[in-house]
Amino acid sequence: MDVSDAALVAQTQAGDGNAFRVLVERHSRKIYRLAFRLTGNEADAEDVVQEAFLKAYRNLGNFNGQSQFSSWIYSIASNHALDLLKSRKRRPVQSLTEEQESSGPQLTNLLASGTPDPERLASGNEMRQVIVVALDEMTPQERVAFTLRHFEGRCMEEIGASLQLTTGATRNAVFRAVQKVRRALHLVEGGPPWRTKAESGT
Amino acid sequence: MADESGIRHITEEEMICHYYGEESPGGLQAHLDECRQCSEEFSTLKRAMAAVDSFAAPNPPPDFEERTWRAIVQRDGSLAGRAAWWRRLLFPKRLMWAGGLAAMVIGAFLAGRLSITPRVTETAAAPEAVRERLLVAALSDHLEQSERLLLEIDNSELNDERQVAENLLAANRLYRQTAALEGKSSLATTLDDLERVLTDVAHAPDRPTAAQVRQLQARIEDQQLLFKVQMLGQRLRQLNQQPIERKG
Repeated sequence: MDVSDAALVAQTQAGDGNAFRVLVERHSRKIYRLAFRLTGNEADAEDVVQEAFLKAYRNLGNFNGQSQFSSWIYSIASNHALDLLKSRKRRPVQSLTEEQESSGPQLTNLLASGTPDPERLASGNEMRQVIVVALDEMTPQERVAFTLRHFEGRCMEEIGASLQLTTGATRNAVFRAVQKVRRALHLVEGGPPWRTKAESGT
Repeated sequence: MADESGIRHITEEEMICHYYGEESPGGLQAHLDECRQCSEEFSTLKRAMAAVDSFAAPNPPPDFEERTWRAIVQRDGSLAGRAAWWRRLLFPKRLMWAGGLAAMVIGAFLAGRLSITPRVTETAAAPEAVRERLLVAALSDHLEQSERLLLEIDNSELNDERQVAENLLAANRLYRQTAALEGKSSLATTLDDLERVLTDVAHAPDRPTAAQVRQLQARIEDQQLLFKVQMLGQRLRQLNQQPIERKG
């Protein structure tokens, strides 16, 4: 007998703070996972979650219910993470956890350590580090678009609407992000080169 | 530009679109089925994307929702005000004291009533008045908590309410017995009605059906229980605002 998000939003708009609490309890874990993938660390992820719900609460009067609350809060969280990533890009590359921070998961470091065993790559922490590096190589916009597309399964139109991009620009951001992932994996695994658009003749 | 054999292969962008189920050129799947080169490249893409899935987000701590809520409330005072009474409801540990507190207050009240030792000092009658005032305050608080619970049952389901009802039940029983002992029949009757509802809520199933919740709500409404509890609580609060008369 779960109360719908729409009903909870209406109750919150009518002054019931508890209804908003239920929304926080219902969505905060999912937002946390999204935020972690976007920011790469737990402290920033928690900050994104809190900031997203605060912004949502303060702007609930503008929420017209045309979209779902879950899409709306995702959009707010994504944009806050995007701002965070942009400000971070001006600083040295961040890493995932303290452990990884100390190990310095740069692709060059990984490559310098010798050709990794593919099996070890597939099962070990090294693969994860390659992905972390690839994510860090992305621009903030690419990372957000890619995360929303790949991990959250959002369609290009929805991502574009969230990030105020055209569908074409969103698609390009996702393409570039995927290329960076593939390049990182290719460099480490020594896989086959990828055919570019020009090479394929289209 | 096609390859030497004149075959137009699939571009990376088209393949990524296809991978994500986005709109892609017609005949792409047919080409993938026939072209070994593109098929292998598509497999490589799928492997790469599967590798990305290894980037799992950690599970937040078990109390993450509670922590998040507290942080939000701390940062926005207006939300704190709106949720204040709920926070009290949602911290059943506080209510765990209700039964014990009631027992202490009633115990002290009855001990004073039953005492036959004559008091001749200036404040001889004051202890009894204070005890009575304490009982009224405690009962008033009990009714306020019960009122919140009844309001919540009126509005939704029975998730946190069962624990709250269980905690209130023990105190209610003591208050009802005391009221009956003191000859306050009207008060005892209202507390008796309240006790039946509290019992039903406390023993409600994990997942009550909509019909069961509606039945409970109907009973509260039929008995005008919420109204009675509100009126009683209001009367007690007014009573407690009057100054204590001292006998000398």
